[in-house]
Amino acid sequence: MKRLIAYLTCLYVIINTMAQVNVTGRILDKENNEPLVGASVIVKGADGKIKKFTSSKSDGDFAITMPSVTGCRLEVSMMSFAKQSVALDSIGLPLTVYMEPGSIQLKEVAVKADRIREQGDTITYNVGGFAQQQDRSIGDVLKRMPGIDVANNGKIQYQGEDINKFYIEGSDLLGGKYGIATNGISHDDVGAVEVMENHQPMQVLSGISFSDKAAINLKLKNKAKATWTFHGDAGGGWSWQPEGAIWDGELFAMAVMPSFQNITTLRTNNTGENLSSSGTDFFAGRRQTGLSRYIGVAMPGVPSLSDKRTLFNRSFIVSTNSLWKFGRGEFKANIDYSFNRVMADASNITTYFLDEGNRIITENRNGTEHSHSLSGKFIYELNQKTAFINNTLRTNIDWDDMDLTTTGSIPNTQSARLPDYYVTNKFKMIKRFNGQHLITFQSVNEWESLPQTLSLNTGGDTFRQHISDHAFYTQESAAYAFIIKGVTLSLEGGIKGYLRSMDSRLPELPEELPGLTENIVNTNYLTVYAIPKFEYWVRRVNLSLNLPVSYAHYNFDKTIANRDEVYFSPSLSFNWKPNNRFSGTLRGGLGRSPMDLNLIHPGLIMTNYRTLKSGVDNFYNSSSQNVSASVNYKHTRYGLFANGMAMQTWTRLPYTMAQQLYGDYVIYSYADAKNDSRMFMAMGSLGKTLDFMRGSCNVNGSFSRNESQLLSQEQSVNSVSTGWSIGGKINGNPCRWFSFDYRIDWSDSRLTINRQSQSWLSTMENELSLTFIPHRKWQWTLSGEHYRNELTEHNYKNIVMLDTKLTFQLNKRIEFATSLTNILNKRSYNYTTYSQLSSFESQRQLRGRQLLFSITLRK
Amino acid sequence: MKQTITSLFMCIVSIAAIAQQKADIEVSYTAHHPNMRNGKDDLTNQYILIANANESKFFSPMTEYIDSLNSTTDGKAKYQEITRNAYLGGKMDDIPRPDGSYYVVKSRPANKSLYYDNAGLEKYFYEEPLHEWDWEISDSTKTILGYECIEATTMFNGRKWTAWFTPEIPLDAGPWKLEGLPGLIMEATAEGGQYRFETTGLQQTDKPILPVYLADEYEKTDRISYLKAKRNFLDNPLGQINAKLGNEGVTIKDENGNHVHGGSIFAPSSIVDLIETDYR
Repeated sequence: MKRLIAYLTCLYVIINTMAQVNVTGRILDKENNEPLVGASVIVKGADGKIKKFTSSKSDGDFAITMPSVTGCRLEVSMMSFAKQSVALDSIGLPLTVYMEPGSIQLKEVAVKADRIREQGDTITYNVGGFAQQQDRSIGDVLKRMPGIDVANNGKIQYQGEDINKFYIEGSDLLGGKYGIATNGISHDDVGAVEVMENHQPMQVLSGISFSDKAAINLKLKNKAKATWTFHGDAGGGWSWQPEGAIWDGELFAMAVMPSFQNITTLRTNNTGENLSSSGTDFFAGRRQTGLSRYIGVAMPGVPSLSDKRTLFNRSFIVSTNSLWKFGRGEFKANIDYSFNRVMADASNITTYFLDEGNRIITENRNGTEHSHSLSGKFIYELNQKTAFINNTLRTNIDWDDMDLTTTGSIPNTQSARLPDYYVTNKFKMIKRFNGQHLITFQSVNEWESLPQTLSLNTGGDTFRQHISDHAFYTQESAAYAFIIKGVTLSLEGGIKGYLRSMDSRLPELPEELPGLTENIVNTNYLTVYAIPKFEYWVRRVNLSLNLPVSYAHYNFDKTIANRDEVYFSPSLSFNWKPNNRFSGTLRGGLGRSPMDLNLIHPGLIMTNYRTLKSGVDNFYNSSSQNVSASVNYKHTRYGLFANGMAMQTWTRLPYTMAQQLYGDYVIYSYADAKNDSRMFMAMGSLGKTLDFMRGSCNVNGSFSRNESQLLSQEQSVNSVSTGWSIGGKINGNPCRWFSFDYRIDWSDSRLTINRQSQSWLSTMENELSLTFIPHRKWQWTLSGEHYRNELTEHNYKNIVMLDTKLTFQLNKRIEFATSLTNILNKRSYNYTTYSQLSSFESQRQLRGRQLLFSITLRK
Repeated sequence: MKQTITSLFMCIVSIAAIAQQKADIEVSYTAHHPNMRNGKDDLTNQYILIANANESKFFSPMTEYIDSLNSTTDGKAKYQEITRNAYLGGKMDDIPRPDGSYYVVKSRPANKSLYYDNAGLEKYFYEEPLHEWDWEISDSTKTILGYECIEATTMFNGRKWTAWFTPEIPLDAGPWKLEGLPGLIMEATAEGGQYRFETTGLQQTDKPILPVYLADEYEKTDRISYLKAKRNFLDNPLGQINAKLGNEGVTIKDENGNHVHGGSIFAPSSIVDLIETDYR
């Protein structure tokens, strides 16, 4: 019996073994022969369906029992290794599968918990949730985030308001020149963008002074922290117009460490990319020296197409920015140099249809502008809860040289040399006592010199006009504030002093023109001022009342009579934020202010070859009133952001600009006449995430109406300009191999002079970009713009520009790209308008077809 | 001597390696669960799975953030400050509140799964060997977040689960305790639909898989005892609260101001039960 059982057992085992196939094996890492644990092992049938699966155990072994393996395949896959596939029919068991490195890339880096999260006043946008394959810099991704707007020059707005700080990992390295970061930092290094609403940059004022502005903070990924990251682009190619070689290069280095930050960038191109935004300080306030150029030699206008179509440039910029933290304070140094050469060309051809034959007049303008700019900014800052100290030393040196040749009725060559030298030091100290008392000291000193030279060559004669203009401004002030139960009362008092001298001498002109030819002007003042301020801040309401009052003594050193003036300009603002989603603000103000002192010059100044200007010979004050209302709403869970704003201002000037023609010359002057102007403006924007395709959309609209007075040929002219615009944009990534961006803008404007309305003229711009990703290493973008500009009523100028770009990503570090811009090689923007007796043809040059090969390296 | 140093060194290296396990992938899920008061409302928590081939952790990021703050004295002070400021500013919405309550931490080399959660007022954790899964793969497929997923079903601790996994992400991982499929589980629903996990996004990551904060505050137990304790609390919450607070007479009122008796705050297990039901 025992034996029978043994036999039966044996038989059972044998039958079993015959009917079952044991697929066994081991999975090893090809690089080091180490066993791999946790690899996924799948047996798929002939129909491609999963029959059995397992995963490799601790020694890399796996075992699957199958009734049969005919037609089956074994697939082994694991993260960070390339998938292996083996046909099981003709293979010996046990198997050894060697895995080769190769990433199973998540073809899509999809969204995390929420693409937008909200915690208190901070809204966090997940960068991975908005980035698309073709994006390079963090600025490209910021544009897709609803609620955030990035202007063409790189300026960032949140809910329709400019941001007040731009931080990288909580440090304000770049100040207002954050364009360097938005254009330079790779989006791949940034984990999240945080928007901090109602951001008060000075900790000492937190809970005391309300801020309705928001700040942006970039949260870097770990891989970009505590190390240097680099990336560089080098590209070269050929352009059909201007004919010649083109280049485009960039080098970007960034270090973000706990006590040191640095961003250094170097960029150069002649491909039409405007680098000036990289060097613009978006937080720079108005210079109190108040100088402005009298000479206004303008380069020929370019049609309203995107810069990259019209800018004939050679640009170079280098910028290095460092921040050291030591003790409780920090020291920052920002040094920039930029060079720009821009050329522009324009021709106007006017044909008069006369009985004796057509008469054709051609005017060509051909200009070159060279500008150099060197700036340095050195800041020490201590930002604590009880004390704030900031000292900022800034110098700017700019050289701007323009040469413009005009042929036509007055053939001439103008060259303007317009250097500008500026130095300022600002010191501010705030101390908080017992949590409720604040004392502030501030000292501002500014000096500026703006010499201007215009040389004019006409008909063989050379004329030269030189203007020297310099100013010094100083302001010393102290303030005291205290808070009780949500009420902040503060009083600031101080003095301002201003010294300015300007002199100019007109060259002898061929024709007799009326007026003085020489100016020696001093405009000095001494002001004592006080600003009582009342701020009520409780729960969800902030009410703020400002009552600045000042007494000023103006000394014009015999240019015109001295004056003593008192100014009072109160303003009130009210903010209501019932919850985290809604916020509304009302503002209003009125007051009197002194005129622009640059206008005080009794003599004529030549601004360009055919325009002269004389200023006022009296001192005036202007008065103005303004009211505005703004609302914004957000619902971060639905990714919805909306804002709206309306503003009305009334300005009353006791002088009016007058225009007079003397032969070929235009003379502007000011006359004693009331000039009332009114301006109304309204705008709104609505943005929403489109999570189903990892995209977002936005619609926006605006309306403005501007009414003002002017004297022309001794006739009063009332002019009203009205304009409105609507726009929309949408982007998305509906499937893995395709993404798109589309934008449309439509605007309409009209000018009404003395109640005679001209016709509405519209412009429309469409921009579309399609990106295909056939394979994770390859990427192909096709993009283009369509412009439709209405020249005269129902007479449209249409132009289509097409670009394409092919990118090959060799690996994470190296990328090659080929781009062809303006495929259709549109070289000019010409249009003709007709009247009964003449035709007018305008010709502008565009950048022609351009082929560029580039390589990108990253570390 | 040399050998000792070498082995000591290897030991340190391996400890460091275990301590600094870097994840390959980070996946976010919305976890649906019923309201234990009535069994009807569909409540949700946000959870994150971070995982590599060997280790994984499933947690609620908001809860982890608060726990991480509370794990150090400085953090505690900061948390109190955030709470106080929000309270004083009248912005009650800003007070950070914990989201989902549990953590699931798994280690394949150690063959163990750790579960941290609370039952009423107490915090518990238990350890189990990794579950031997027996999934049935069906022919149905659907696309979730652009990934082709295959349907699979299994019985697990008292409930029948339907999961959708994608072989395109060859990682044996999923939400909560679920795993055991040749690919990431993107969606899973318990029969009846009261418990459900849905992927809302995923991305590659190299974040370390850190241990649970305040782990020593959890009392050790086993799974069945934990489930029973949780059920006991739901059945008689006031009993426990009063026992803990020394019967100082905590009472609960409903919307109309009437006293509510312990038994009727939460719905009985016949209407709505825990995510695992095999404790009964």
